[in-house]
Amino acid sequence: MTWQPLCCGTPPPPTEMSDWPRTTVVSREPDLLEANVGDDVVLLSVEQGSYYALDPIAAAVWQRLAVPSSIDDLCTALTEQYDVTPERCEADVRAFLSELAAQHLLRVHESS
Amino acid sequence: MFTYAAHGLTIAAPFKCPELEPATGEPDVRADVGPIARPTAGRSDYAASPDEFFLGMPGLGHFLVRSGREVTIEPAAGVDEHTIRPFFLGTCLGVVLHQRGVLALHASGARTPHGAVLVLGDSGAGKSTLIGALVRSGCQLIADDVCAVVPDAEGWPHVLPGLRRLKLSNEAAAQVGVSCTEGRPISDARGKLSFEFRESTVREPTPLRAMFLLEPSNGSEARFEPLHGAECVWALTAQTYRPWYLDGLGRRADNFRQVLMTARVPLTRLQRPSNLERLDDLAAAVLRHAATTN
Repeated sequence: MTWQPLCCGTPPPPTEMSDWPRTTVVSREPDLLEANVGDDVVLLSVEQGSYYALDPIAAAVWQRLAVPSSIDDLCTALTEQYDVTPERCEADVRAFLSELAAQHLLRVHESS
Repeated sequence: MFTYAAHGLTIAAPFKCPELEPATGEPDVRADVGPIARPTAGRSDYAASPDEFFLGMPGLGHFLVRSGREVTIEPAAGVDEHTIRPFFLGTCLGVVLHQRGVLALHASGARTPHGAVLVLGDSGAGKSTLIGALVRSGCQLIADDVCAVVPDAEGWPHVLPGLRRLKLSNEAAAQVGVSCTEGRPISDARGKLSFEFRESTVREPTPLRAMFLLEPSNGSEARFEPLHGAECVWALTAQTYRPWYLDGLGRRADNFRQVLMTARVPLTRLQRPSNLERLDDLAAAVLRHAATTN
């Protein structure tokens, strides 16, 4: 079993996620168990036997990923919700999505 | 058969278990000595499925645990019941608890005036020694090595009475104030002795008040660090008893829910000084912490 903290804003591993158009539609893997614990969200993939800890901002993005959204829609909503520049927000969101993809927690749909 | 009560269960054992509280009544769990069929596919020393757990240990014997109700023990040639008993009391009963959907933690516990205190940690961290010091200061022993935790009707975690003995090294036994001549050697080759307690034990569930994740350190002072949120979930998951069997037994999701239930109780990382002579101070600090934490 493994334990992985996931934050929004971690430098991205080298994937093509930074090149993906803003119209790319993504959503989260639906079969994870999830719980709020204090300020954190903990995810468990029973299939993988792995646990993930999301800090509050990562948890907010994760919550929005319950429904397929484009990267553009995600960034727009988060820029309104948080005191952050659009550029910084997009960089952090792309980094987080890369991290989720690397952990097989992200689904990518046809672009909208 | 010899009948005992432990972890909320009536257990019929094929040999005497002085570590367990004698009991009467219909057994929930029956353990027998007998031959065990070997797996026909896969590994020859381990197989786990939701209803059946099989484990072989070279030079020691084989174990089969079924549906949280039946335990079969097949000792290897020349292995006596004293040698095999710790593995029945540890691994087999731990798997029984997993199969019955009960959280089993790798911890020792004592009943204090404020409720149950659990000490969790890796082997060698000093869990039994610290609990021994609490018992010496007037607390009662709830369990050693395996602690079963269940929710009450309101969902509050309670610790069930378990093994009423402490595994202590010679040095720790001297500090805890237990006479070394009372200890029986344990055959798991860690050089420890088993000290049984007949008085000062608890016989009913105790509400859980505080948990301490014990780590040895090189410092001269004890350090208490409250853990929060996701850290608690990970610590309790990692300190589940034999967590590596959870996936094979199909109990990963159950364990997650049980850990979340238990994480309602404050969990503190405790880095203890290596000096055993400060043990009474450490026990007093743990009691103060348990009294004031919320």
